[in-house]
Amino acid sequence: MNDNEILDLYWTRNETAISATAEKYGGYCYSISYNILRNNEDAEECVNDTYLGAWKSIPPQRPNRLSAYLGKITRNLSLNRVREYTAAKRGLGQTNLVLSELEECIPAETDVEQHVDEMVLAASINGFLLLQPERNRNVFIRRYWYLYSIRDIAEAYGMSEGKTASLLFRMRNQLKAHLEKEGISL
Amino acid sequence: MKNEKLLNAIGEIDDELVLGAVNDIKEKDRRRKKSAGTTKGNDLKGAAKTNKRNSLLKWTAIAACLCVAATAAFVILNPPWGQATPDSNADGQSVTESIADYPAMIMIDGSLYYDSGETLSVSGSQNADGEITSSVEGEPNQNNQSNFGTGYSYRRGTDNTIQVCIDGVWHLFLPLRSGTDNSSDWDDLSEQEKEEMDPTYNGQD
Repeated sequence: MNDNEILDLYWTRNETAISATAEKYGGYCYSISYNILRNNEDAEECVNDTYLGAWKSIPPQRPNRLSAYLGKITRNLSLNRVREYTAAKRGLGQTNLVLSELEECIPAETDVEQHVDEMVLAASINGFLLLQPERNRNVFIRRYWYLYSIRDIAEAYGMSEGKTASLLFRMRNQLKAHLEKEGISL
Repeated sequence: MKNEKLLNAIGEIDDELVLGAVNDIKEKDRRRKKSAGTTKGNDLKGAAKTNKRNSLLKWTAIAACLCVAATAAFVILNPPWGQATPDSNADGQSVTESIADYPAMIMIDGSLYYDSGETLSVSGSQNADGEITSSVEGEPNQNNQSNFGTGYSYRRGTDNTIQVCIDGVWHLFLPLRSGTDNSSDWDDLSEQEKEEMDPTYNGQD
């Protein structure tokens, strides 16, 4: 079943939309959630919550890319769950490590404080990524969108963990310079 | 927190970039995913069931090897390439069968292209140069024809490549051979090979 047919099921409030979504994108959503939570039960719950989120938001939404839409819901739900767990000192996965690394990208404060809308920031990051070689871009997205571990990324690209970490370090510095150049401060 | 704001903003980057990385993952992470799947299974079933699972995997692997060997023997004895399928469907509906026997191929401007297995992570311009309008089992023999279905947009890439949009992802197709001009194949042969293939060949084309 293609995405348009699945979306039609949502729009006609046909509950088979959920099973069709699960069949086509269940594995994708699970892998996103599991990367973040590192816990099978929590990941499965987040994936089920993703279906519920999709059911509630489609309609009125009709996403152009259903997979990306579901992936974002899963990512947000999983990150929210990590935040809940952080307070309770439970399973952290890669999230705190990633947050710690991203601190390096935050430009120094300028004299004139600017409020940066999240979408403006996203657009700037988008522009930065489009300038990167494909491999570097994908490594960055795997790390900071999918929250893959450095070991997993290194293994996937046949690189050492050190080289992968070094690549990410350089990219974070470049992103910081890019944001500063665009006058973005957080 | 500022870094959380950054993490959230990264979550809003372009869908194409996100999915591009996914396709990359699909291509390159099969081994890692298998490993993760085993880990997941261990979490769920426990150590006692692991041995049973490993045993099952062993027998599955043996069965898979036998299947591969049988398939290889069949292909060697009955090479499918370049042969018309005698009982192929005129309406070209048996896409699954054609995919099983042939690589995904298209014919554009009289030339055949096959799926390289590579995808392009960024779709870029959505402008297409044309669309696959017909489909056959086996090897395409008309322009804008594929052996995996119709309705796919395509565009010309650099270095005589074709990019075909399948489920929103651009797949790279490489030239297989020209339908009308085989001169490049002949030119690639050594002098000795040319003499062997054409007894009248005297060193001049």
